[in-house]
Amino acid sequence: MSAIALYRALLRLLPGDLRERYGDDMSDMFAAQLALATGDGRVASFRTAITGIADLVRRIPYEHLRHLRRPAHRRRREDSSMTRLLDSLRLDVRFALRSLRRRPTFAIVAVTTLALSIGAATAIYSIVDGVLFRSLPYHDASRIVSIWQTDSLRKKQALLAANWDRVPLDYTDFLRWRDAQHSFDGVAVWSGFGAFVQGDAAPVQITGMRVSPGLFGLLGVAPILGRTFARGEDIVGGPRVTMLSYEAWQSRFGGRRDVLGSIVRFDDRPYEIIGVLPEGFTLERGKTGAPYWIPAGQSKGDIGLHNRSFHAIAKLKPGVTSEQAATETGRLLDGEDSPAAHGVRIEGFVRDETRTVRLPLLLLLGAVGILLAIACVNIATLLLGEASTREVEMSARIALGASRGRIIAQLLTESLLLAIVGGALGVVLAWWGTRGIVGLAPPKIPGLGAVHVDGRVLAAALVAATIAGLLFGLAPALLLSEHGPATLLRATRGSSGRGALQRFMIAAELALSVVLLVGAGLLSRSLQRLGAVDPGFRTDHLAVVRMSWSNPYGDTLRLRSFYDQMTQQLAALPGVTAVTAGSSIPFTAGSSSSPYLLVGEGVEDMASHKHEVQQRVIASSYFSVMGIPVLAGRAFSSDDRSGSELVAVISDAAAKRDFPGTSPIGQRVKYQGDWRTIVGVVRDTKVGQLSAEDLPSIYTPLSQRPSVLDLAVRTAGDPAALANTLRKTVQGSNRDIVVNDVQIMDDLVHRSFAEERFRTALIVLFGATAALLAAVGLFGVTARAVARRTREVGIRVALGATSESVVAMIVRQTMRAVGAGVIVGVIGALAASRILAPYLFGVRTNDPATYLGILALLGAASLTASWLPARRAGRVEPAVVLRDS
Amino acid sequence: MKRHFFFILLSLAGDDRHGSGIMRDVLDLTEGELKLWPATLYGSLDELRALGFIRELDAAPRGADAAGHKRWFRITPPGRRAVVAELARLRATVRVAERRLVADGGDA
Repeated sequence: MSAIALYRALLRLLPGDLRERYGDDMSDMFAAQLALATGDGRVASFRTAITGIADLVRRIPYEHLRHLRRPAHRRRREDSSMTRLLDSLRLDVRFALRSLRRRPTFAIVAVTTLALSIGAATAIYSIVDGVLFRSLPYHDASRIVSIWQTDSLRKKQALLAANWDRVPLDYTDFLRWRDAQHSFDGVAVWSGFGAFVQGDAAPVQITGMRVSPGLFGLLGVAPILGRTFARGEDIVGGPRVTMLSYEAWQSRFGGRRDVLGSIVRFDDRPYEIIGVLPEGFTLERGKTGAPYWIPAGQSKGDIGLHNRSFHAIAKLKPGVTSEQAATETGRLLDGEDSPAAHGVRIEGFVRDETRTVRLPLLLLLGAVGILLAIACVNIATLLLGEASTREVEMSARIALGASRGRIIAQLLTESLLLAIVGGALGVVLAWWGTRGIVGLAPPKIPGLGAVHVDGRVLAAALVAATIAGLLFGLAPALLLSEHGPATLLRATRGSSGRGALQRFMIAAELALSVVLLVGAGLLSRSLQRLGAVDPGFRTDHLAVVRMSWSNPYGDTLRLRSFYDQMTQQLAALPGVTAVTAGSSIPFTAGSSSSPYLLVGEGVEDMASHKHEVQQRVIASSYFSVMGIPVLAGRAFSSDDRSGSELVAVISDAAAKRDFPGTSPIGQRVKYQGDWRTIVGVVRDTKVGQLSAEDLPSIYTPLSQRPSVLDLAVRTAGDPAALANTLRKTVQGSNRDIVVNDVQIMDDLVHRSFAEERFRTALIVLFGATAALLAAVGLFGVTARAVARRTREVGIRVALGATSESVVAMIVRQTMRAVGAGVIVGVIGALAASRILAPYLFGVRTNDPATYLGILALLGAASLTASWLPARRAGRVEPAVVLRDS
Repeated sequence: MKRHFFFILLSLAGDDRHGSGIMRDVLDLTEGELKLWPATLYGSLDELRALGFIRELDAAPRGADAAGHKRWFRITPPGRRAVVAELARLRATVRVAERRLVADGGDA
């Protein structure tokens, strides 16, 4: 019955002449098919209904187009029917607008709900789509894979575990592999290099790329000017040639075509420009590509030294599986007698690039999906509620002669209107939200820079909105049209059955909200714990001056005296209380690590990474200025000179790991080729992530191991206020020095968990929206229940019930639905939050405090949302109600 | 020619039919493969009528059993010519394809 009514309503959308001529035949035939299918069971009849309706819907636009293409003289004759259709549509829209204007609260709530959920879902989807699903802008991108070596021994070492399956390649190994492999249509590697290029005034530090000659061919990238590197140029002593990025060509060489053959100096070595790369070419999606590119394999350090610093990509041959390729590659890279712990990992380029952000982004997508589901349930609840209050109005219209088709068409027009307005606002929100999220997101996410709301995403959002609107409008429309005019005559108000459906929907909404809110709660608590972690040194009032030397071959004596002199000079500045120097100062940059050996150990212990330590070279005042306590032994002093006994200080974690049960003081370790005596143990510090466990470290004095260090400056007031003075003072002191940056330690620490904050902020936002939507839905349902039961309440009050007991009764009924929803939600949350485990710090996924907090919050919100409308029931005047009925 | 045009014309080439009759006959002709749903069927009939390939009968043909069906359709001479021409085209296509597959050593 209802499927046929819908079919008839949809027939109205066909061009007038066709409908007049064949409309009845079509609906008769559809009815006959439906009747036939009913004999074959419910599924068959449902399928028949859907297919028949789909056939009609597909045909509608086609018939209109056909109608328009007809010769004008024939069309004119038929125009009257078209006009009639448009007229009735215009009437429906006008009627819908008027009807919605009469119910502004409903309209605003529905539109806002739709706009918020569609906006949020579209924004998150466009980000996930841009980062995870968009393919690379290269030829045959789906066959491009990343190649890494793996070393399972590293898994056991805290320092190396994170990258055990991301070991870069050595160039000598690469050459052997390139010449012998059969699995790929091409293999290539790249690595960064730092150099100074003479700028207009001072030398400028740049990061360029060293690449194997086949890289551009593999990616299908051709130079827009000149040539790329040729095979054979990647050998020690090979020709010094360089390619420019398009951007560098434009900004530094004015886009001149005669730039080919010009010379650029990297660290005073001349390189000839041989080509220019196309605009926007980069190896890291969303980031600007390197300005200068040179052939790899030209420096002596690349050959035969196990210098693992090359990222590898390859283009898989069609028909070769990753496993086959990995087996061959492993054999070629490691040699026949490769250790069992070594292997090769092959993964699609985008997948590999996004491995750390993949799950968090999908989690966000899941969260926004839940939000969208809540919004859908919410609107359906609202519309069902609307349906029950409008029964009388609709019955009256049917009694006055309106056809069912007209009424369904009109109700659908209303819900479509809501969906279109909500969807349009949602698109605005999505555009805005995507920009906001991209702006706030930590820069670590690859490809984020290129994310934008595009036609594909928008079309998906609008189609979703329209389908949602149709579905939500349809259920109440069909329910309504089932009631004949008898409803009006009987004047019964609503059935209790529909109230139950609404309460079920409220329960569903609350269950989903609990899942989302528990996730938000757990992440917030985790973030709070993270912010409270003691990094192991004093981060306040601390600035770090990061610098490099444009002349790294300057003599070590000068280096040492520079730091002595600079420390004194900066310490004399007003506002500076202490100055020290160190390499890889925590939170400023990646730190490096290497192993040491204990007495009696040999080379084989080196390979197992047994004593891998983070390494730092420091000035003797480092520990006192940074506020790192010495736990045993002593810190370095001015007596630790280059001629005296070689010494080292280790961190607590290293002492516990390598000298369990004994004192490390006085013990000797072989580190970087020299035996050193351990003279002290200091407290562990966090170095890049507050959530990381304490990593074993070794410190050696600058006086015995000259290197380029950064300066750490302790200030009396705000360190940011001194940043410029510090920069100028250091920069002006020596022409070989380049100050890269002056950074404030508190900011660096804060930024170190930007990703966690970003993620948490979004999920909390979704959770809060979900809770708000649930509360609005609850309010609506209770208000409706109160309105519907006014008469019953009046009688109860007349019979002596107090207004408090009436209010309590109504609240109790809604709260029963809330309770059921919450219980289901908690079970769901317990299951779902397990996915969050890797992203939680110091909080378990079943953290009772979080659950109780969320339950209390939702309970309070639900009570308020149902008590506010229930209060009205308590104020019912029995006399008025009884007289009205 | 569109596939369902061809089969509707083919169906009417045999006999005058009403809508459901055409639907069932096409289903038989294609061994259950092409089912014409109401909107597609009547839309196509309207198109074929506009092309002059079929016409509507004023009354049910004598001896027809399906009472209550208002609309009966009959193929016109241009319609018959169109379906024959389409058949010739299809035949030519089959010939070309067979020749190519045999020449390539495939099992045609």
